This record gives sequence, C-alpha cells and structure tokens, in this order.
Amino acid sequence: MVATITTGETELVSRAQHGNRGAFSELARQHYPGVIRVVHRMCGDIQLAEDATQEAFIRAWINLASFQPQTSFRNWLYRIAVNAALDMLRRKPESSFDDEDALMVTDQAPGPEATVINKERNALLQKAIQSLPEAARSVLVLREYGELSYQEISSVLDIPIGTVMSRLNYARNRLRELLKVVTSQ
Amino acid sequence: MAEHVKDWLGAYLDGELQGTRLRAVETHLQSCEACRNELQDLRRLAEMFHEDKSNDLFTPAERFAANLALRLPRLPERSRSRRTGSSAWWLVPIGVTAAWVFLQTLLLVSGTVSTLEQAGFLKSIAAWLPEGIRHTEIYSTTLSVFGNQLGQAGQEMLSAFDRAYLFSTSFLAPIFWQAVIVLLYWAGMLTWFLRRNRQRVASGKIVRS
Repeated sequence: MVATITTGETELVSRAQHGNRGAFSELARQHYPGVIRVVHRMCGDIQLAEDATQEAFIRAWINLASFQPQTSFRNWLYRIAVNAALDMLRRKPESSFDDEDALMVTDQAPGPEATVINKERNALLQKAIQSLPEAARSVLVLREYGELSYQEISSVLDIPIGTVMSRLNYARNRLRELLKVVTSQ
Repeated sequence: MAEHVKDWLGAYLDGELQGTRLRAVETHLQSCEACRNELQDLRRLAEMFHEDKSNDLFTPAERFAANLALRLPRLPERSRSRRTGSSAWWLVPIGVTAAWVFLQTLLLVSGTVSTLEQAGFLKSIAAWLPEGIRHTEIYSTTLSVFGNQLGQAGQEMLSAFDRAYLFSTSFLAPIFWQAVIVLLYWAGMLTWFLRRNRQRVASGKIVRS
C-alpha cells in the first residue's frame, strides 16, 4: 500500500469536514481494509477488532475538524485506530486469544492437513504478536499489516525513526525466538 | 571480517536503507554466513505475516461503511465552525502587532520631526510638537569645559553626535526592546498553537513505551 493522497481523497476529506456523511463513508470504505488488518493484529480477536475499528472511525468522524488537510489522512486515521485498539484491549483485559475465528484460516492448498498446519501457524503467530509489549506490537503491526514506511510509523506513533527501528528489531527477534520451530519448517 | 550488521537487517529487508549503509550491508552479506542466515530467518518470518488470510473473515468494506454511516453521531455545530473560528482567532495577534507598528511609526515620525526641529530645522513646521529633547549630559559638559577650544568644526561634530545619540536612545532603543517583546509574544502564541494543534490531531493518547 502506498501512502498517496489523491485529489479524490482530499476532496472527500474536505466534504466530510463540512459534515457530509456520504463522503466520510466513502473514506471509511477505502481505508477499512488496512485499518481492520492493523487493528485485528493489535487485538487478536476479530469481533474485538471490528468493534475497535468502528470506534476508531467514529472517533475520526467526531474529531475530523481537527485534521490538517496538508497531512496524511491515512496516518491520522491509523493513529486513532491504534489508540482505539489499545483502549479496547484495556477495557477487556482478559486474553482474547481464545477466539476460534482466528484459527479458521484456510490455506489455498487443498487437503485437511495443510489447513490444520496453516491454522496452527496462524494461531502461534497471533499468540506471539499478542505477547509483545504494546509499544513494540504497535510498530510491528503498522509495518507488517499496515505496510507503513518507517517515516510514516514515526509520524503515526510520534516517535523517532531510530525508535521505530529498534522496536521493530526487538519485536522481530522476540517473534523469531517464540516461533523458532515454525519458521524453521 | 567487518562488524556484523544484524541490527540493520530488518531495515534492509524493509527497503529502508540507502547510500553507504545499504552498500555496507550488501558487502557484508556477501562474506558473512551468520548474517545471511539471520536475513533468511527474517525472510521466513515476513512470509508468515504475508500468509495471513484473515481478510476473508472481516465484514466486507461496503457493508462496514454502510453500517458506519448509520451509527455516525450528529456533529455538534462548534465542530464544523471551529475551522472558521480558529482562522478568525489569528486576527487577534495580527491586530495587536498592526496597532503596535502604527503607534511606533507615529512616534518615530513625531520624534524625527521633533529632533529636526531641535536641531534648528523645520522651526515653523514643527511648532506644534512638544519640547522633549534637549541635549545629552556629555554634550553640555564637553561644551562647557572645552567650548572655546573646540572650534566651529568641533562643535558641529559634537552637536551631530549629540543628535544621533539622542535619536538612538530616545527612539531606536525602545523600539528594539518592544520588537523583542513582540517576537516573544509571537513565539509564545505559536508554541501554544502548535501544542493545541498536536493535542487535536489524535482523539486518543499517543502511544509511548
């Protein structure tokens, strides 16, 4: 995903800032796939992620007047989404990784064995991501699932690029330790 | 062998390295098996991320957007008018500065005319201006002690120095300090505005470790 601010988006944002719900819905439709991917990996639970995503878009709508049109709408939205996901997790502190939906991922390859292996890998990955500290998890998820550049992550989380890099290194090294068996397969 | 580049391998894999750092990592990888293995591990981990097929499980974007549109709360009127209000707010410091510039210009012109009048020019024209400025103490003392020895040229030089000194101390110095105050005022307003703006960028808190 490339962070481009198209003329269409600028116009949609402008119209939404003047209270146009249709324009905001169109913005939500465009950004929803990226946001839900990030929020899902932050929360580790599909239902929780959908609730957090909806809350993020509602927060964005309410605070849209404060958005500066010369900045990236996507980065602004991701910042709100990450915060909404963390708030949602704090409101529901118990581990949410008992969600069977996360294990219902099917592999392209046919056959029950491949499906089971893929489910297990996905489950382990999600569990490993959930075990990371919030700060490292936010950076990792924005990079791997939001596909943001280091500069964009730095802007979204308001941290220096060096910190982005060190947190990513930490997160990846930790995941490699946790998933040693899986990644070596 | 050169120092390992393990700390840079993630950024290398993400395409975030450039220039000499990128070349250094590439060169090192050619000769270091440990770092190549590390890179391979990171590639396998990246593949796991990209194998994610969760997208199929989420509510489709169209349905999500349609549901969202029904749940969006009505925006308070102030939210929509805040942009207009914020631009009007900027007129306050601009107005204060403009008033200051006007007042200073008036005082400067008045003072210049007054000084010229003191120096013997514009006698009739500046008759309405107040008499505020006479001579400096240096001028009076020098003239009383060395008055006869200075000669006409010396007295004229002393008089010119006296007028220049009076002008600078009476008008330029206060203007300088007032300009400093205005700049500090603007810097304070700018800092306040940036902080306020920053707080409004996100509705929630900033994620920090």
